[in-house]
Amino acid sequence: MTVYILRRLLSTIPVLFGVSLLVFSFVHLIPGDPALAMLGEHATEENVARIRERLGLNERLDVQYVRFMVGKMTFEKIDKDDVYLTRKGNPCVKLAKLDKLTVCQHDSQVWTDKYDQNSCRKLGSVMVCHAGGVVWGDLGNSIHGNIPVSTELKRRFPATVELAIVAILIAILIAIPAGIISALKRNSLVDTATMIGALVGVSMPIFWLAILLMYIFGLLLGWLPTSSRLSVGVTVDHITGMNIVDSLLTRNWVALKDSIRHILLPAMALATIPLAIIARMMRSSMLEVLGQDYVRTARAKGLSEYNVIMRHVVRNALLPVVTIIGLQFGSLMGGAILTETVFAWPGIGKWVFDAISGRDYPIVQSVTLLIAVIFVFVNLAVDVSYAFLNPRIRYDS
Amino acid sequence: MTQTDTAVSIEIQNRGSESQFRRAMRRMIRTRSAQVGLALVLSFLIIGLMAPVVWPYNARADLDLKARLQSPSLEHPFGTDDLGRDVLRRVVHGARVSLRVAVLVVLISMSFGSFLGLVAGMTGGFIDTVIMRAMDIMLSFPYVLLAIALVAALGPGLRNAMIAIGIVYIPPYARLARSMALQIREEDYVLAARALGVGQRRILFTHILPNGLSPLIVMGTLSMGTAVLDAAALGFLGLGQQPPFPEWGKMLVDSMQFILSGSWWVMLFPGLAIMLTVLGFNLLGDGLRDALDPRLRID
Repeated sequence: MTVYILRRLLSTIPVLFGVSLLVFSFVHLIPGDPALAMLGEHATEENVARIRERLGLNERLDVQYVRFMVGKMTFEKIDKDDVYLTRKGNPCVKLAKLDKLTVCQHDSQVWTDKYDQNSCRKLGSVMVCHAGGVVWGDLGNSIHGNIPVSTELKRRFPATVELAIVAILIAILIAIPAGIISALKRNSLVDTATMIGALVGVSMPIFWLAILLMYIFGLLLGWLPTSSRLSVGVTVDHITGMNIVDSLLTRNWVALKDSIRHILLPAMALATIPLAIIARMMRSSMLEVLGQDYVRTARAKGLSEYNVIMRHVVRNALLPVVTIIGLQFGSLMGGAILTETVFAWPGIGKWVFDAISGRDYPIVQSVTLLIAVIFVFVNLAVDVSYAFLNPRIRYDS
Repeated sequence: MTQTDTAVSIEIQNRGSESQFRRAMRRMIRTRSAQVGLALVLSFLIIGLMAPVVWPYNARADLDLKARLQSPSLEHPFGTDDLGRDVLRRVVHGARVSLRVAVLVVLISMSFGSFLGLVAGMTGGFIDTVIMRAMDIMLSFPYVLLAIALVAALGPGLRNAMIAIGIVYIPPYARLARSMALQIREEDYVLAARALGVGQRRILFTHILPNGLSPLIVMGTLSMGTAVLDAAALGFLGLGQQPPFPEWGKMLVDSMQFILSGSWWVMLFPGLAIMLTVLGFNLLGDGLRDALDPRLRID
């Protein structure tokens, strides 16, 4: 098992490398001068030159890629040891002076004395500083507003994760029982209805369903709010950034109710496709298992039908479904762009949409990279959990 | 003599596969769901092909600001939009965009994907590894996201949207074609042909491709449906067909601002059109799969 996990982990390295190359190359697919494309036709030459400089577009391609990945690195031997007061008034031991920045050490933390993209760490007697570089979690700054992408990402990411989790929970809670009942009552009215529903579910544009839900439940019936995460006036203390979790942790029942009411419509829209796919998968997997010899044996030895179904059929039928659920969770992150746009949900999907409209490529690049990396690791987790659940896979490998 | 034997065997095989194909088609036509799928796809195809002849689209003449946001009536069965344009006419012409996307995307992805997959499967070794790892990398992005990122970089427009979706759809075809090539390569009749000295290319075109065609057709039909969905999604994000020519996804995003005033018809019909087209391709694809390759049948 450990060997399997290790091998699977190693196999993600070339994939992650390729993913980073692909995301890096997006900017270079832009026809003409990317800096001009980002700033628009009316940009001044100075501004274009400034953006080119900031994005490092004047460098050679390989230099650009390395800078995109690890940033601009500087190394300096530490020789000064005097006590120094930073701008914020923190005392620190001055370690080095780099590019007009004083690098400090205080309480075993290392930082620079000015708010900057630079961040440093001490390696023995050498100070290593970097500006930018996605491997350090520095995703650069947005073109418009020059805000660090990672700061905004931290604020928005929990909203998307919360939406995706609620959506996948809705999908699982409905799809698995529906698939089981469909398979047990094959060719009945329930089965036909479920399968038609599943087919319509995968054929429906998610953003259209979102608009329909908004129209019916938001406007016609007036039951649920149709945009944002909380009503005006309701606040919740930020702990995880996920409103439902935070309001539970702080026992803020008003905010909890409000958060749930706000998340229901977007989560329902986002849940449709996984719901349809999981229900179909569960049904076909159940039908396959129902025909197995061990099910006949279980029946023959006189187990109650309930025990046969729950212990032998459902448990085995769930195996392939687990894989599908994992994969669906990954693609929910992509589907979030459409749902969040319709419901003005302040997550990363809406952010990407706004960034595309504003041609703010560093944001598009960062979010694409982040989602792809998550997707790679979700796939890895799915594979490992599958091997864990199904001994046959483990021993084969 | 050897050559005539091969020719005869190919002839017999062709005849065999043709009748098998016909049998499969007959099987498919008999199922209710495939009938519905075929009817849906054919009707959208006819609508799309006939529209410019019967009911030409003229963006300028279509505007009628006096007839803004009218609810469905005899004159405008699907109502009018915020610029007084007939929604039915726009939905009908939108069919052309969606069907063009469906066909071209599948052509791009199927030809490139099958080519790459067959090359990988037939040659093996280093080339195989490089091609398949590249496919793995593309598969590590959610489809929609990769397509969006590509169009965002290439620039919005229907052509770039089709290219982006086409590229994003390549890996599944490559994987399918590769597995077909690996499987069929070991079949006795291919080994026999190889023993007779038949060249790689000929083996590819006379044995591997015809025998692997049915799963490719099934996948092609099913991905036409998803291509329509993804093109609408790109249109919805403003990255697909640019105005004024109607596109279903763009119509939906434009409709959002009028829902508050209760103009439901502006968003209902384009959405229904997308759903029915995709449903048609999905039903047809499922029917084809059951008929052509019973092993793949869900139940």
